[in-house]
Amino acid sequence: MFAEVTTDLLNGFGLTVLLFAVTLVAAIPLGLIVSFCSMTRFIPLKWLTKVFVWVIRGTPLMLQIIVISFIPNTVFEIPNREIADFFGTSMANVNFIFVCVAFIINYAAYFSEIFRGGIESIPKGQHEAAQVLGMTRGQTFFLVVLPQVVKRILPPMSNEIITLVKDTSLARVLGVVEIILAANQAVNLYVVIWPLFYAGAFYLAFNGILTLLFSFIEKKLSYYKV
Amino acid sequence: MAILEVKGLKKSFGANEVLKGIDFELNRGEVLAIIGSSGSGKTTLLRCLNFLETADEGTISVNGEVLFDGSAEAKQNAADIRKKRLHFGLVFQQFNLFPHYNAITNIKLAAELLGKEKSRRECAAIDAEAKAEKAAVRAAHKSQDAALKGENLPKDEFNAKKRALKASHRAELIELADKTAAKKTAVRERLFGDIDRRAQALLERVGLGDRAEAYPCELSGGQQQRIAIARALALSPDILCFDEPTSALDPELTGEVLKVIKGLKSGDSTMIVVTHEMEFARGVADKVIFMADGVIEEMGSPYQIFEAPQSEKTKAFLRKSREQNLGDEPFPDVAS
Repeated sequence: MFAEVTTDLLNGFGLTVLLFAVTLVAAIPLGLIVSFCSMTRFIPLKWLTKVFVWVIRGTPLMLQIIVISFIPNTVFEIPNREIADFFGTSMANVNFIFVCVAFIINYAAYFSEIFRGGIESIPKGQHEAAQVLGMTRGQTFFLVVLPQVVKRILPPMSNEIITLVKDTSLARVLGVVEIILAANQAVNLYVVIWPLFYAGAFYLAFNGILTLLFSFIEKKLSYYKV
Repeated sequence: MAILEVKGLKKSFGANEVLKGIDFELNRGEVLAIIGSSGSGKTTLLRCLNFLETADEGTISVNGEVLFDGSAEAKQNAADIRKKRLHFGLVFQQFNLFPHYNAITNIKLAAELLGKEKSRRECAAIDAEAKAEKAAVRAAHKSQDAALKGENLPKDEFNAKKRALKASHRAELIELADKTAAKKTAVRERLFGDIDRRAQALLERVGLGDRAEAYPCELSGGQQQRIAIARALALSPDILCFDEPTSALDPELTGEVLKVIKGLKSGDSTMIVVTHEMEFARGVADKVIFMADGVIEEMGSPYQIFEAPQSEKTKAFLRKSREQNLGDEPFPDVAS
């Protein structure tokens, strides 16, 4: 029984990690773009972005996942079944992609606010010093501002990323068998409670590794103060 | 001829007119000290010269070239301004060193970036030239091949000659490629070969030759400001501006910074120093401007300003700063 449960949980954990990785890789650059939009001098775009961030941060991620899964069917009248057939894949995969899209949008909104805070916290003097040295705006951002932003946003980012690990459990609302749903199924099947604790141990281990990784990066960047 | 000429410079922030028409000239190698109480527009003037603020009216010319003309219709684009502001260097009150780079990188970063830009441009020109040359050589080769064919030689002789011709063609193309590569190396050598040595020399000039690898957070305020001075010097600006370079420093650290600035005077650098250090202005400047309420209240040699001021405002300002220096102001004005 232990071996079967372990296999099921590992499969679920695979999906959890995949969702986590996809979200992180896509939401960080997207979040940077959103943060630029929220700082632009072009007022309509700025307000549009602020409303977007307000809506995304102000509503539950679970609601967003469900809404996204219903958009093709209700707005464009394309049944999800057809999407799956068109791409020659299973419904489970289509649902996983819906979950990914919702996570990416949601986390991009959160990240964008962290990035905005980080970018705006860099003193004006840094920009001016770069300017009088003849640097272009691109050089100023990538060589002067961004490295300092990375250091400043590390603590809030590590918070958000650890939250992301735990949020992946929301994928079950579309039937994605991530680790908690896998554990849940094992509990139903074998009528024992320990698979739930076993699943918790996976989260603990994963977040423990992330915590160590972040403190390592923090230490790496401690050679200077901003 | 004056290296810097400022005429009728005006600047307002909203309804607040900070500069109300500033005119002055500065000759090469001169040191200009600008004194005056807070809010008199000294810093704004310096920021206008460095294009950190855009003046509303007036002109700024360096070496006879008009860099800024408030009456010009055309809005200047960012690339133009970038080029123009390199005539000026600026040392900030708060140093503004880049905290994530060590001292030597702070100094050479901008020079390296400009070097890269130039090298990219020059290498592109060399490549274009080489391409044209190669096409010409290829065409010549083709006509030689055709000529050989036209000779109708016996097969053995033709093959032998053709082989020889091919070898010489190949050698010619290799030589051409080598020449292009050598040209590019020369460009890079000219643009970058000097940067490290120059940066180290600047470090030594500000007395920090042994702190090349130190990060700003490991340096004292005075040392940081000296690095900032070296950084501003790295691009060899025509005019180096200092915005209250010692105001953010502990009193015991101002001396080392002032000494460095004084040391630069022996060179031919032209400098503008906004300062509250009256003794420094008196001892180092060739010319002193006293600013009050956005105008130049009085301008002249240090002797004229400090020993024989004409304006009542100048006299009052000097009296006040002297009292503060002695620390025996009879009735300290709490409100100010």
